[in-house]
Amino acid sequence: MIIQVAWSISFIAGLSLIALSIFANTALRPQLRRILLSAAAASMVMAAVVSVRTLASGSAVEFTGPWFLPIGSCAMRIGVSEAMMLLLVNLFGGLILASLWREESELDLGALIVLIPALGVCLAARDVILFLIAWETMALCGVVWQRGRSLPEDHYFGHGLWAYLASANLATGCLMVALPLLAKLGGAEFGPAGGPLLWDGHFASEANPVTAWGLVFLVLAGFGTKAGLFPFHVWIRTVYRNAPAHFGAISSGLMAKVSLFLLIRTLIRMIPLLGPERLPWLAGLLMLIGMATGLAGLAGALTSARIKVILGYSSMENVGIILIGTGLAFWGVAREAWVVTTFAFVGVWFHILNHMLAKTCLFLASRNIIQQSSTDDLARLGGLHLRMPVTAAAFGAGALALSAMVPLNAFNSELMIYDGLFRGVLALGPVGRDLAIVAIAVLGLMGGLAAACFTGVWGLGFLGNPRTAAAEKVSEAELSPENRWIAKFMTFAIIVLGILPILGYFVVRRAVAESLVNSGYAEGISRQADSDVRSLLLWLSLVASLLFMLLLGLKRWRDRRLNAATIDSGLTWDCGFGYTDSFARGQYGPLSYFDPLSAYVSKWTWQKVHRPEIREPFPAKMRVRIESVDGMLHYVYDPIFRFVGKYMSRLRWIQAGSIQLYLAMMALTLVAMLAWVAVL
Amino acid sequence: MMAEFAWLAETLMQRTIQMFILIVLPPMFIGIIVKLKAVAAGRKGPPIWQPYLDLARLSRKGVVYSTATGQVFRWAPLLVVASSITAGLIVPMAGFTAPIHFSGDLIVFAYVLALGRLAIILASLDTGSAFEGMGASREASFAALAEPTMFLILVSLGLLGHADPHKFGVEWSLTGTLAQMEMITWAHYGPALLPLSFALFVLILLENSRVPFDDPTTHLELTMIHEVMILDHSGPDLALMEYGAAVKLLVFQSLLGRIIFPHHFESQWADVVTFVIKIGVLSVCVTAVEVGMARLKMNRIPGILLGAFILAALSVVVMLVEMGEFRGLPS
Amino acid sequence: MNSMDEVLLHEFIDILLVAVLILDLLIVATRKLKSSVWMNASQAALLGLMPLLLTGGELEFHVVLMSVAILVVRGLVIPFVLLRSVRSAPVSVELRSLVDQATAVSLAAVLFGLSFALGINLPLPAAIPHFSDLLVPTALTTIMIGLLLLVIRTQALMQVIGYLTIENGIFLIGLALVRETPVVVELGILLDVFVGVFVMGIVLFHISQAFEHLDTTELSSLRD
Repeated sequence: MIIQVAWSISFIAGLSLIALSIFANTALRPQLRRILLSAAAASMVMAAVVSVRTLASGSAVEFTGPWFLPIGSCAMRIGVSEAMMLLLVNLFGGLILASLWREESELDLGALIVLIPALGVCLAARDVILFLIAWETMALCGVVWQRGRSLPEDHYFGHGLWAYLASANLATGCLMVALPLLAKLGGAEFGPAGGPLLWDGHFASEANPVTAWGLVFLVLAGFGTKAGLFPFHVWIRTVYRNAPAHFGAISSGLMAKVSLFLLIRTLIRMIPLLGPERLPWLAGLLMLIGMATGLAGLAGALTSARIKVILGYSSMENVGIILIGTGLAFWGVAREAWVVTTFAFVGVWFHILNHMLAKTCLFLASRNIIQQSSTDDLARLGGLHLRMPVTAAAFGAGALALSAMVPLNAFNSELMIYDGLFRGVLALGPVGRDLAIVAIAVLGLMGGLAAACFTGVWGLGFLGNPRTAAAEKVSEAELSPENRWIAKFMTFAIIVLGILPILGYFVVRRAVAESLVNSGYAEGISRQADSDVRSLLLWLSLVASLLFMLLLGLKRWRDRRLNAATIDSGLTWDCGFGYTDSFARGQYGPLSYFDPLSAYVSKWTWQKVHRPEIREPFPAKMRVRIESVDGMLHYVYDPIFRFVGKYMSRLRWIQAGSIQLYLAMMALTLVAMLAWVAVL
Repeated sequence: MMAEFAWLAETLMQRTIQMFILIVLPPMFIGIIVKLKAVAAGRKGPPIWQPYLDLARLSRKGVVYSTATGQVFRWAPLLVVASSITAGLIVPMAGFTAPIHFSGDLIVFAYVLALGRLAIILASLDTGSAFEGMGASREASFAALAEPTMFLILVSLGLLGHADPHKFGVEWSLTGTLAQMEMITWAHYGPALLPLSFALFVLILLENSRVPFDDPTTHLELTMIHEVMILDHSGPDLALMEYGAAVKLLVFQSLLGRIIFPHHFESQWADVVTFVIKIGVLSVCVTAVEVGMARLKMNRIPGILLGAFILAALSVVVMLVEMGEFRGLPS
Repeated sequence: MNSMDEVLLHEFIDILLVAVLILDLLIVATRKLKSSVWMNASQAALLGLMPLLLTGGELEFHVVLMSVAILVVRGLVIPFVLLRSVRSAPVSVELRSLVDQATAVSLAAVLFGLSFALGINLPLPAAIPHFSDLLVPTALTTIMIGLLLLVIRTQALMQVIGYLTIENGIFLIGLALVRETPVVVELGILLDVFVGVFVMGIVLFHISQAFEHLDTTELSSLRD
């Protein structure tokens, strides 16, 4: 009940804020704004407390609220997995809100405040109608950050708004077909009288292949579009580029993770529907999609020079890792290799947590620098670490974590997936074993490429000398204190979760157990698996502390050495080239740093990369920048959309507004339906 | 009680020897390579303990920090050494089990090594020098392309650790695999270990920036990878960078040495002596490549890495074949 | 023969096969004309040992004869003839190829994967004694690599090398399929190959004399 109250408060507060931004123009505005924000914050704390309690006690919360539509119901259930996600959504949503509340407009804040409870309802909804309403609310809130920003040089969709709306609506369309069908197969009764339409029922028997695979596709497309699954990821570049950086935090940290969670939960529920024969196929499909998603994400990230776009694509890479883990888990279910499944699920849920943390941190840090320097182009940044140390540290922690560096958080969850894959090599039988080996190699490649990508982003954006005046004048003192504190807190959290991954395991353990039970292993986490996971995580802590001890010891040695010696300071050695003034502009920029890898990307992948080529000794003045277009967009979606735009517009005469025509259509419909009834 | 005490003493002894090997010996093998190269070129060359003298000289000197640099530049040399030593503690040397071994340590090994590489890359970007940026870009690209090979080698080694059904249930770790290897393992799994050794050797040359991927003695910045990234380090920092590189080379060589000649002797000291000989022989191999080959053009490196990847993949497949995973198919 | 010997023999066969595979890889990766000739020769020489091993160490006269013949003809005579035939021509020592090295190697990687995926699961008649699980995949890979060489290399000499590589693969698959190939047939095949290469060597020699180059892409205009 508390949670419902909390959500209602949030909704009302958010909507009032939006209304305030549009209509009200009173002197009371600042006070009203503060009151509404406090109400929302209080409700978020309430929701977080409830989810912590659920997580601690391990028993699900179920409740039904009042409902006003003829069909559907307000039935909700918060199990332990949902409680985990709810906690994370409220935690990171709260952090994002805290970093925005001073500067952003009421419209932005209101949309965020509505979005967070909408995500909560998406997680908890048992009823299809309730879910779809919440889902659509969430999607519509995202529109707020797409308004009025368009980039002339970006000819794909022309506008971030269209990319966002098209992808969101296609996804919702898929879900509107898939979820009622799932509800029906799960035994929901719905007739002309309406009534609840619950979609969390258990499936008694296998569905026929067409239905089963159709549902898999619809669910993948529906939930996967928001998460950025290959091949539904084409919106990423335009939308992340056009929207402000905090939209990145909201989209990648909250919306994508919730839809990924829903995707995995739905797929787990669908296991009986698919049956044991088809389950390995689904597992293999997921692993392949995961690899494709990860590699496509990196291909996009490595051929881009804008921080927001790179971070957006890197989210895609991490979604790929998570999907590989999910596929592995499913294969473990099919082969009844439950230890493999346990490791995979620990990796999956833990990586969702870690990625939410690291990505929110990265996007909020990049918001700080964009605010100060008004650009996110790596070619115009540089040297920020001396001017904004806290922000640089936060970005660095996030970047290194996502390149899977050892004592940081995301490595631990990736290690769980790796370990599951290594175990899977022995346990999964012919095809699963082969896929696991391929996945290990691909994960290795992804790790290396992600490291190359993030060293580039952090190294070019934050280290070295400032490349432009805009980057030179930034200063941390201009940031609001909350933003500094949030950056510090997130850096700290990334490091702590890195050194003590067992803490993360305690957060995700119940969710893992629930996933195992739902996929057919009544025992949950077996004693063996539990001790294996724990010992691995403790060993990791040991290795991390060893690293730190060695570091500190070496530091002491060097400090003692340097106490006796002279420490000079000067310009970086120029190898005898004697550049001093134009030094900063002679640094390696994104174009040159990513050049070897972007060359491979343009050669070996589908990504269409525009690489500037110098053909003659003294070329004319040219603007050199790194640009790429997703191959899927360029070769598949764009032609389809063009075709539709060209030919479907010929059907416009139907909607010309002539009453005679509408009446004729009604008559035709009547005839057709009579004919259908008569013939069948 | 007595037995336990003896076991403890022995373990302690082994750990001490491994720490000694890991921390003290690395510069010597660099010295050996330099010496051999000089001899091959008809020069006399510096004595093999020259690297120690260099390190001592460097660590007595002062440092110059560029005004562009910040904390990253200062911490990177420490990270390089710390990561190399931590990785070295996961690899069993000289016939012993490694000080750190646990199920899954293969992956940690790969990523701890990557940490040191990342530190160098970031430090070189921190200087803001165009040359160092170039080195960083190359290092990052080639390292990324080498990762799949590394992981397939680890898969193959991990499989070997589980190959013997009687020892089933051993951990997925470097020690778990390498400790149970004998010379007889080559008789059973030689076809898989052969390509694996080749692939690992290529990887050693790449990861340690040796010819044909990089030239440690070149004087032209445009052709460097590793050397150009440490151009701006000086004094104790440079000493740490050089030392970290030496440790990393030893770690890789001891991994390969253990695979090619996995024999254990009765006595620990015989093991230690064999170990030193093995690393010496591998250093000779590295030198032979350096003497016999020129540096490759940069655009040919991916092709070579791809070749190493195929070898590693071949080793995994053959390992599965030798394990009998494919037997019993309807023929 | 005790079991340890059997294991060793089996492993020796497998090591030979892996060496053949590695040579396949190298022959695609190399950029020197001469070394690809010698790689092919050493591959053939390794295969020449196979009949000896497959008999299980019992030395029968005709098997030994065949092995020696293969070693001499394929391992020494043919490379010598080939290199001799191009020595006088102004052929560059660098290979000419339609695709660059990285692409060639990645094509080889695809072919390796394909051949193993197909070869390991290829149903073979049950009557065949089981030498090694690697035999058929290796043979398939070698044939595929030979075809790849034929497709991507443009020099006439390399076409011969491609042909010889295919021949190596066929020899291997022949070993897998027909245990008791009459030695006369084997020797006949060897003779055919020898004569074929000899003829090609002479042709190459003449082409090089007439056109001063040995690039097949430029020879296409000779058709009809």
